[in-house]
Amino acid sequence: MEDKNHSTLRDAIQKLPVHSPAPGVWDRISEELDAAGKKTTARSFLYSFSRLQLAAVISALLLLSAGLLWRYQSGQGIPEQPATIQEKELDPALPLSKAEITEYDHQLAAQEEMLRKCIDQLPEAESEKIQPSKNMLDAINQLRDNMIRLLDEQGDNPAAMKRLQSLEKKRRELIGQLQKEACESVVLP
Amino acid sequence: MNREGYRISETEQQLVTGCRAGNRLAQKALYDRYKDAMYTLCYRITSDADLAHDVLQEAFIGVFKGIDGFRQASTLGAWIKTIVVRTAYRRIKKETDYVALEDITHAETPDWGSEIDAGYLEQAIQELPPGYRSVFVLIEVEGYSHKEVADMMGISVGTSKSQLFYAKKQLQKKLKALGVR
Repeated sequence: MEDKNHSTLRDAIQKLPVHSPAPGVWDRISEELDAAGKKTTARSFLYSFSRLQLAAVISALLLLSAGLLWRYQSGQGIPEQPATIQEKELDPALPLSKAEITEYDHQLAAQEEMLRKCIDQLPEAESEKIQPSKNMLDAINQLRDNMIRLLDEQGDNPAAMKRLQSLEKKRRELIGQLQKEACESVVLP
Repeated sequence: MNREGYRISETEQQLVTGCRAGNRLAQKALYDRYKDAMYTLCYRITSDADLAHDVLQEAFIGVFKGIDGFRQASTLGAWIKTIVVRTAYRRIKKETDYVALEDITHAETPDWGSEIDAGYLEQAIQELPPGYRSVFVLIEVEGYSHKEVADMMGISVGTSKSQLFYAKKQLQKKLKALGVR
């Protein structure tokens, strides 16, 4: 049933004013798109590795660790590098001695524990996606334990510390990336 | 219409392609093309300038993130408008009360007289309760059907019709109070 004189309403509607948004809206949209882009890039970096590539990297790290241990246990200690690496070459942002590892690990371990809780809450499909990265983190942790054992035996050897620092750096990055992916959609109890 | 759906202009096709590639200039151009129409719609539905800005922002983020899903089943403007309406409606949903459907079949039909001032009409629309306002804006101003509004808002066609009827009744009262008619 058509209203009486509906054309009057239609004519007035045609003349309704057009409003313009404030100029800052586009800037906010652009910023949000930038932030979303960065997140996607970080995520796609990890996913750009195939399972095979990740498995190869993990195997190489494990072999390196086994080799180091074998050389140490057969009495050769850390090969060559101790003489060439000085303490000043170590990254001051990371633990510089075995004593500092404990405090550093205290912070990172809490982060890692939260990450593992998030992973436990993830749906199976999501959990499968991050499994390669999780395997890599496990491998790095194993290597790290081996290096700490080596330092226990040898004292603060700069070459060993440099290797440990490099492992800590990779571990910290990996935990950060995994946290972004796993904890974003999870509400911990 | 082509096999995929609506044919869009070459310029819009280029903008869509650019937006799909994440090109910021193309995104800005698309935003500039539709910002006024979409903001006006946001403002009419929400009746709050700050909220309308938030809705516009959220809706365009949704447009850029979801542009891969634009399959030309409608025009580009209509597709964007649907996202804007859904976003706006989600934001006002909490404060929207729908009156129970009453038998309006035999109700008196509204009479709009010979002239309505557009400025006063705008003011009267803004003063409507959210449920009336959104249905009136979508059907009378934006040209959606009751079925489309019902689908978008998750209400029945009957509720949409009753909302529109009561919206018009209130509008007429308000316009009379403003001394327009």
